[in-house]
Amino acid sequence: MNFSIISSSERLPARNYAIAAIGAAVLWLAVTMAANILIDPQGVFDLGPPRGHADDNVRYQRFRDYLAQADQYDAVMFASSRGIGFDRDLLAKLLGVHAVANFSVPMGLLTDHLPVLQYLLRDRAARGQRLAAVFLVIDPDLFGLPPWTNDNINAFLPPQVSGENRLRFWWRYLTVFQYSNWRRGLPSTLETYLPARWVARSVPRLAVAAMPVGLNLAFGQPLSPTTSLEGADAIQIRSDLSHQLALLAQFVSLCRANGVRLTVVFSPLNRQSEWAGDAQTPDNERTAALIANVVPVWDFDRPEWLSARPDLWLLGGDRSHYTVAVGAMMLHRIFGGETDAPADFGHLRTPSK
Amino acid sequence: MLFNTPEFVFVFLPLAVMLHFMAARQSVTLATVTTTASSLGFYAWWNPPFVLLPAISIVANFFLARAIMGAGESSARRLLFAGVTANLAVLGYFKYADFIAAIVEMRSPSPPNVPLALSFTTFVQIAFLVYVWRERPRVDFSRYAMFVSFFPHLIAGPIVRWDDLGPQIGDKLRYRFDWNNIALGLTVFCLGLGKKMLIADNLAPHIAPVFDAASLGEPITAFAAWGAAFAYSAQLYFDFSGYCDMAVGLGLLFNLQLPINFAAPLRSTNIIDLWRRWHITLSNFLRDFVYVPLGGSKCGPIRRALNLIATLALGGLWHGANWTFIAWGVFNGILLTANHAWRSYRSERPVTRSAHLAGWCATFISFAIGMVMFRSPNVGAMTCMLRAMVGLDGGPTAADQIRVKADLWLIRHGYLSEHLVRAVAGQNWSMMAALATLVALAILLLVPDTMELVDYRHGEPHAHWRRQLGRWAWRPSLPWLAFIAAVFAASFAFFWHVNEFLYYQF
Repeated sequence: MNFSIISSSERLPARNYAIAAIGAAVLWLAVTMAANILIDPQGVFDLGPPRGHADDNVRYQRFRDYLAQADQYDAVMFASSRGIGFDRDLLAKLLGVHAVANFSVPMGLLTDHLPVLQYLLRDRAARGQRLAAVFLVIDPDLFGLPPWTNDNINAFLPPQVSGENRLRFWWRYLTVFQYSNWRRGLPSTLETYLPARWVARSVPRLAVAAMPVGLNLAFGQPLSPTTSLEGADAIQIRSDLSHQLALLAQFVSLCRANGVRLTVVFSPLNRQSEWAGDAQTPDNERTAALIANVVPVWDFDRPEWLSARPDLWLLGGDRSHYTVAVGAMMLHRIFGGETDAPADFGHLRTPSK
Repeated sequence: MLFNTPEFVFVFLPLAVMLHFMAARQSVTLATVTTTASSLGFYAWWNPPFVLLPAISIVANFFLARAIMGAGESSARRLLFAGVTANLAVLGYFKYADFIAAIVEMRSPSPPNVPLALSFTTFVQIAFLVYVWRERPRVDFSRYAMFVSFFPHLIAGPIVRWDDLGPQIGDKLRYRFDWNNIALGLTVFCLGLGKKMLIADNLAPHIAPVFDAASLGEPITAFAAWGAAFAYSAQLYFDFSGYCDMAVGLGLLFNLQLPINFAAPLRSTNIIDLWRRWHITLSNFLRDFVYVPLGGSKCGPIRRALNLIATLALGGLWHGANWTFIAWGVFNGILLTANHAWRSYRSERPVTRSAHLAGWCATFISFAIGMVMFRSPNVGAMTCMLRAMVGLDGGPTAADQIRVKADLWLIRHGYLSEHLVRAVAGQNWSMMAALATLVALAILLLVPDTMELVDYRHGEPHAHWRRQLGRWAWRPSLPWLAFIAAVFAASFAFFWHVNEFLYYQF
């Protein structure tokens, strides 16, 4: 008896049809895997010579950097991308430690920092070393927003930190279809092997031509949240506020339980940024007060003089990331030392104040 | 594990099919045991400890069925009653206990936390026990375990019956590898995948902001409310029918024919026909195990109306412990009653083309109103949406910011007026969303359904819904191969944005 739904007398034998369909799917997967490994948009495979990546997973890269020199660190800095404003050598000197590991990651929140701290404490214990100090930078304008952690291909924590199955972690990076990131990362990949002039002229056209117009339109946008928050048009709601506060409390307890000296700092905000404008200020202030109820915080507010000094913010109209000069002022205010910042720049907020 | 993930498509599925047919070379029993193990592994991927629930349930129901088979009439009836009650008690504990407690304590129910597949496996096993009680068939454990746990239908149906799938699982001839069914199964799977990934999932982001705003009691324009209602109707259809297509396709890879669950229901021109063609296996279950035992249509029009409303209300409650689902069920029960009354009044008069169109409009609009109840997270949100649909909500003020980004490019480039968007679509809907909804509805109405394309008819209620396709009908050919490869490739590109199937929550 034949249980086939179709008759086998069709133009293309069913066997050939099925094998070709399976083959096409496998080929599509193989091409995807090859592109992910060779172009490596997130910089997680890191095979071959070092090069730029289209959509770095900074969380993973920071972890890899830490592992490369783990024995020399005895302190750590947690921050968002605003951590770029701190000179870690100066920080180490003022903290009185040997070296500070850098865990400043884009949109870094407690969902990123707490698992890393837990890992570091385990790791230091396994190495017979201890963590002396933690420097935690909090952004009062971003705290409580939906975290990026494990939400996008460029924001997955390393499996050692998240506890995720390693196979699952790598399978994800092998199989994600990310045409726009491949397209952006291809020139950098080819430049590693080919003359830069040839690459600059040919690659954009090649990459566009490689896809039909429809697919180009569909996949032309990078996977969110690679775009900056400053460019966002939608209103952001602090939907994760209570969760982040709970994680902060855990973070503080963990430091205390392990005898780690904790310094918590609010990033100074630029009044011209939409995230620190007049309309946003009461919300930022409420959030800051809630954080200060959990742990004493050095608050650098949104001083007018700082907002009026474009030279103290990163170039290119960035009103979110302050320069190392500002970071140095902050560090000297916290730990003592010479600074030309106004006297009212930065004060310690405690629950009672 | 979801059907729309690379690990399912490229690892689990090929392994499960290969192991099944390799085991089948040894014996049919080994193949059924192997596929049962694969299916439980598929379930365990979601939450390993929870796999105990279906495993225990399968064993318990099997031994209960054995006891029913060997018992006298009155004992068998008592055992059946105990079995049905026990199955419903487990379902009730996980699904409705908090809802009932919330009613007693006059508080809001907690978010549901129902073990995956419980609603479906409960109905499958209740139907099995009733069948065993009526027919006293011989059942062996390995076949029964595979019948319940078979992964294509395990999580979200179709709700299979033993008299349909049981004999197929027991048929030794079905354990031979069949390229014809592989070819057809892959095609059906890919078409279902496309429905889910390319249509349903692209509608979802447009719908959520409107219902979220409703749950916060924020103003919504009538255009946005109707748009979201139509969009959700299309999303649910493409999502669930896509899932069911995939289930049928997967079944075919194992030479098993699962029943059709959707027969292009949103093309129906009356609500009675729509419910015969929407989630067919659930409708059949409710008909056979609730509506008919209540007396069905044999007790006069008033009793029939009450039976219909009670059956549909129960069907609504099956979807979830929420007053919105009960409201949805009652609403549809009333619609069915009205449709029956209209039929009695109209008798057998011929139906004109314009009457068909009017019938479709009335049916689809009624269905979309029901979908507002179905999608709303609570009664407050439902009321807010329904008020907005009849224009009782003022809509946003001119000062309100447009929250969704879909129209921003068009506004910035001068193709759309910001004022128009704000006034018509409001803060949470967009003209692009309206366009996407229109495209989805056009596909739904004009493009033949998967089961029409491949001429798959197993379990369909009637054949009236099918259209003549001629050369568009599927056959293993190069153009069709290119088409399904393209659908798969495009769907694969969206695998990263994994969205659960909507019916997983039920």
